[in-house]
Amino acid sequence: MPLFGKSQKSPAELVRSLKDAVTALERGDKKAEKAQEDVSKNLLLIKNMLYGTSDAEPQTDIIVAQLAQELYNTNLLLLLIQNLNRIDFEGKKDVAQVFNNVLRRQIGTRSPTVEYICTKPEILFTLMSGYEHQEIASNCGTMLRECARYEALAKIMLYSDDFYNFFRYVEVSTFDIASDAFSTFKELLTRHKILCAEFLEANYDKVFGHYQRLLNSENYVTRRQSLKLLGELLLDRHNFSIMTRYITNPDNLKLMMNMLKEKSRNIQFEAFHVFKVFVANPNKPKPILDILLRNQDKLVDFLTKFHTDRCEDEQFNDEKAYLIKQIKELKPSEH
Amino acid sequence: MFNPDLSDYQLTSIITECCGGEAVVYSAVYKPNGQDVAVKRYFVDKTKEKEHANLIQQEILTTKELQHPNILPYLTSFVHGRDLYVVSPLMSLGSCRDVLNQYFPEGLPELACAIILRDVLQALQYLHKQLYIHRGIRASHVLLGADGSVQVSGLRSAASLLARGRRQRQLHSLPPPRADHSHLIWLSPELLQQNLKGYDACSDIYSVGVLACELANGAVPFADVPSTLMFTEKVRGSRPQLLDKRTMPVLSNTEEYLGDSGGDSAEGARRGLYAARTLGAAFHQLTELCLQREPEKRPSATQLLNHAFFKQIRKTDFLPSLIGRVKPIKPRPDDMSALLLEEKLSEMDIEKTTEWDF
Repeated sequence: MPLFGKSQKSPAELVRSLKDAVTALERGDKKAEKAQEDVSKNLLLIKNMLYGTSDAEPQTDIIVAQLAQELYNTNLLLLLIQNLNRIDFEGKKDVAQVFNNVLRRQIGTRSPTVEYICTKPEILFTLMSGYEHQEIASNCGTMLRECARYEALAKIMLYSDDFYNFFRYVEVSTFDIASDAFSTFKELLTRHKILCAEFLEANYDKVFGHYQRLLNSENYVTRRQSLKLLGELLLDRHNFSIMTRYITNPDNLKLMMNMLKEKSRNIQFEAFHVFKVFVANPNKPKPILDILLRNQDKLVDFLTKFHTDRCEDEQFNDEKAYLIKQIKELKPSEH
Repeated sequence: MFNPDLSDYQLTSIITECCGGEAVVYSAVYKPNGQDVAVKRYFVDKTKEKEHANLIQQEILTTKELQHPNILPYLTSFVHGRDLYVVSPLMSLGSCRDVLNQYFPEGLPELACAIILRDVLQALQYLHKQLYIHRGIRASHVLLGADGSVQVSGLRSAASLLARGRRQRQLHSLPPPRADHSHLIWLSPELLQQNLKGYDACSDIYSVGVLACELANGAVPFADVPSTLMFTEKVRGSRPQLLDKRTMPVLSNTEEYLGDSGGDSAEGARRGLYAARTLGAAFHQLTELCLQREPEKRPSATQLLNHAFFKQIRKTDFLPSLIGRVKPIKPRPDDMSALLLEEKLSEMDIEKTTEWDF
């Protein structure tokens, strides 16, 4: 009988045999090799049902609905993710593709898989901890970023303790894992504007305490990416109150002024975009104003010579001219 | 496992500059086990393109998703100073483009072309099955190892047909731009045309056709013509050709060919070589099949691998001996120490900076 022949298994049978195979793989007994083969085979069959192949369209909605229902009933998604490191190379990718496809299922305005995952948040936490393991990090990353597109799932991740592990993941020494983690981290902090703003407000001290470490990272790319993201967060109008809070802290101003002088031109440039907010603030608290006043001449001089070769960037030049003017006109406050 | 730490790598020579000056490739020895590797160093702080780091990240992600003997694998990557380092196995004969430039300006022997094209097609067969389109097949992205291996690189331009849990049948976007637009030469007419029909994996097959001409002729087709003319020529169905006795009658329209280049003697000699040689009919046929204007007429990578052209390859054929004049990359300690010294000095020059008064 051909391996991928016409005798099609029903979704229930497929899910059952995949589950048996993953369970056998998890036990890791002497039948592990056979289990590995069965896992790959069944994953591929499920993937082809969902995506179709070069000569076949995806299965009908009814079949896909049955498949999804079986996946929920058996908790197979969680089992697959928990055993992802045991599954072979192509199988790992198939898991991510099956997961991402099922995640997008919609019935009218409902997303049944999203609802299911809300009742099984371990799925999300297991995915997040995938960044601890080099060989599955990017597979987990692609699934996490798809999850982060759904507000309900993003909320679970943001408000979990595990979220703070991202501050470690984005700094690991292997660039590909660090940058994958950063993409997910950024997605979580920027995708759903209102959710993110509420989260940042409620957890301001904890988040920005951790964030400080990224800005001071030894790793150039981490420093640059996190500084750029900080600029984006502060300048987003949804985050107005977070921005107001950030720019009242003189330590933050000092950090940005030092970053303006970093050797890296990219970091200087990103720092400029955060620094400008401190200067443009019409209600500068005294400690901020004092620092700016103490460095008034130096700042004017520094900014005048700052990135003079960016002549084609009109917005930057306008902003720079505005900052120089503002700083020149600074006067000690009356209160 | 390769450690993500520059001090574990002893850089031994500079292989090439690439990506339009954004990166340099070194040969290096991985100290813990003495293995030869290639280390690609990206100057990420020097490039103004905001998307640049994302592209490299995407390239690594794509490469990590793929595992095939004809695709250059990824070993590790890390940041050191303000540069990003990406480590891969060393392909010590260099890229096909380097080989053509340095040793075979008139093109590679036909059997060598056959082996290289077969291996490229095997890579594409795998990529297409994984629902990727490479979009950057060209001689500079085909690397040769001293052990006879042929590996495809340049996955920065690759795109997946799977997006957000759905499979697309066509793509429409252009591959990431390059400063010199040189990459357009290898792209298929339907991709360049940018219309609603889009393009699919057949687009890579067209690029294989251009690659076949590049390998056999040494010169890149369309290299001397402006991009707009190259584009209209392709859309009108004009195809690059393998140059030999059949396609280059000795006497006719010589002037037309010599038009821009002014007809220097090296060029003349090379034209003589082309006119005197005969390439196999199967080679011509394969190239023509790949370069058909209508994408649906082009065979798939799998079909092409069964083409008569590849029947001439025997198990005992060893690519490095077919191109025996190519010398593998050798360590050049003097170059390296000069370079490292220069870098030390530039790190030391302390810029005069403002001291803030906090």
